[in-house]
Amino acid sequence: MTEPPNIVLVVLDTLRRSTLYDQINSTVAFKKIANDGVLYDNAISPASWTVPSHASIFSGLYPSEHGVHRRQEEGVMESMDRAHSMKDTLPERMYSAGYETTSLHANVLLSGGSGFDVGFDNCLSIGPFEWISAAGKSIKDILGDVDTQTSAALKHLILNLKFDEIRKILSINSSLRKQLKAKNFPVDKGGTDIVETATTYLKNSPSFVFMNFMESHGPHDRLPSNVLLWERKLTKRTIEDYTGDRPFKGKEVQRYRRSYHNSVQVMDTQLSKLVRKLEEKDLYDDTLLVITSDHGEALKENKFVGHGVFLHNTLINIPLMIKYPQSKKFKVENGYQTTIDMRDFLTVWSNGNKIPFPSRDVVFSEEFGSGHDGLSRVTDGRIDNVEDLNVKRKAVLKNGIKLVVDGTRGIVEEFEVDGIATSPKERREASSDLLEEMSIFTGNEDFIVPGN
Amino acid sequence: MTEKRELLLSLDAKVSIAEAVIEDAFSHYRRPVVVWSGGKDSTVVLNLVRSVCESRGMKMPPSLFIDHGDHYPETLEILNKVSRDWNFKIIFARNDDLLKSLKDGSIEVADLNEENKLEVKRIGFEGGEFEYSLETDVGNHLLKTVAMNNTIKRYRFDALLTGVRWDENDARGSEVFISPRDEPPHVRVQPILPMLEKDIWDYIFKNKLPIHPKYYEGYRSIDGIHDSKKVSDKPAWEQDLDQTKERAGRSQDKEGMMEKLRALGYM
Repeated sequence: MTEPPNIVLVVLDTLRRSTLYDQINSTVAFKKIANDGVLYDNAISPASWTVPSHASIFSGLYPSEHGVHRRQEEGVMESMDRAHSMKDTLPERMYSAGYETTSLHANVLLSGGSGFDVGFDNCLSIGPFEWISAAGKSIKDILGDVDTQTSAALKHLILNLKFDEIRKILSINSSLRKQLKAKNFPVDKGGTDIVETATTYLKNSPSFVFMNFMESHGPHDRLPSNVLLWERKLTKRTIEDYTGDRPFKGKEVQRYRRSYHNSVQVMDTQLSKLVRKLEEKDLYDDTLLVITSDHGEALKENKFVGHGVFLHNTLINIPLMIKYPQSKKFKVENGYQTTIDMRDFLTVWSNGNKIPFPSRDVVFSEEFGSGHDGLSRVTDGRIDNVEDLNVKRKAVLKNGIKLVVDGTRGIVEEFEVDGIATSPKERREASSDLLEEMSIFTGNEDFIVPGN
Repeated sequence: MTEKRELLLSLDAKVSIAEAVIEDAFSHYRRPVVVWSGGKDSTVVLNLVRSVCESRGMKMPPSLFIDHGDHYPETLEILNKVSRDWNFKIIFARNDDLLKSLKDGSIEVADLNEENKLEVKRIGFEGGEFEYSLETDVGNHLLKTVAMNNTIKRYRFDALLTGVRWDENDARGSEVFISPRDEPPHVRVQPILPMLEKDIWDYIFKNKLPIHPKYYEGYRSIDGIHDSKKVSDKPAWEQDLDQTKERAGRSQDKEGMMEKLRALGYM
């Protein structure tokens, strides 16, 4: 037993593994952390969007076990309600072990009152998303009951001769745009302020600092050209601009891919600052620093752009690098890493013991419906069938073989051997073995595993 | 008059208690598993689990079979039949590395992998070779506990339902219905603690549960071939259940080492 180390857990929201690993040699901070630590090549996220994946990191359970995921016909907020039912979570464990616990996040889904704040001494939402939602609220107050698309809302105001209201709305919007520009949004989605704030909370007391960065989430290189920026229901289009849900055509896809790729360099700059601050405070060596992600992003490889809904490799293969205290090296065992092991792994370190991040023979990933804003993806033709959206899916990975089941219809959707799509019939034994793994725990779920 | 506490409850009450304990465990734990040997006690637990699952409209959890490699062929037959009929999965917990190193009925410590070597040390065994047996500390620990603990970790089981009963031996007399374990972290759910051996047989006959053929031959316990001996020619349930020891068929010192093994995670 030794003194428990400082623990810093960084989640790079929406950053998939390949985009980071392919350019790691042209980075500074990522390369340093990987060199000083251990780079994991087989980390899989337990889900493909923020809420269930963070719930897995915090609770140590898969989505079907913690239940904090979207169910059929539910909105994001209903699934969020269940976040309050999580027990014995990572921040609570850290708190019990005597850590000062801090959450600094740009993703509003993790903010105070979300359930993801439980166990944190300090829980701060940082970044422009807060301003955007505040502006949206002011505009909504002006509009009153008019709750429709932008053009309809404006038309309504004009027809009713409410020019003063229109002037107010445009003024709120223009000052929001100025604020965002000053902060270099959307290239910087709060990262600078998060790193700046983190220095206050990084101390040798010991401290646990959880950080969520949004720089890789959504388009990254310019402010949307639309006039208005506020809540989804009113301006679906503008929100889609920064969440990445907007339909992409021709060059836009190229542009989106390029800015997604560039977000790694943006984050590298932020992490360089973080590493420098840790070194200045003489904390770097003793700190356990974990860099990972909650899920990836589809860039139209399988028609689909965005995340949630599916369990393609682009969506569930995530980066994981760990700089252990004193840059201790551990051999990576064969198998896969899953962030459901994060809670117990960090608990062991918080108790003053040392273990490597575990590998597993078998890991899973799960989705339970359209996540957020799935329907717009059908209407603009990015998904062929609406039925494909609202199904339950599970992926199981074992020995380089991956199998995805649509458990609503009880069919095998994907079967891959070493990354190559294969017919399950060609590898009958392996496919039935993976189906067997999947069918061991279905409990109360209504999930159909083919052949069971 | 001091009457045995278990005699003060009716079988119906014990069944209700057991179902309540299982029900409670299922509402708190996400990955339960029934430890099942094919023997009488764990088959009773399995049937109680089945009835709770039916009333909750949930599928049966899997069962965990500790495969130490020394089973009667009849055991595997009963495993296959019941799991098929009742529709649940069996997970085989096996120490493959040890079984691979088995030569002429014994195992050389040097042939074992690092993890097993560490476990040999942990149990306090200092020799270079040990016999393939469930009746020694080291054999029992490696063949059963290590195999079981690795399986708990591999499948992330959070609740193990077992057929432990108070009257089996003194070490079990102080057990509680749900008790936490550390390595690996999980809970033991022990729904049939108050049942006596006679209750078990009454329940089995009443519910027409499958009976391992060895009990007909007079065995009272069917764990391993080399471990269990026939006590009498009468079927197990016709023997004098109150006056003779249930584990009489097992070697004497084995029950004595139970305390020690339990401390390391065995049931």
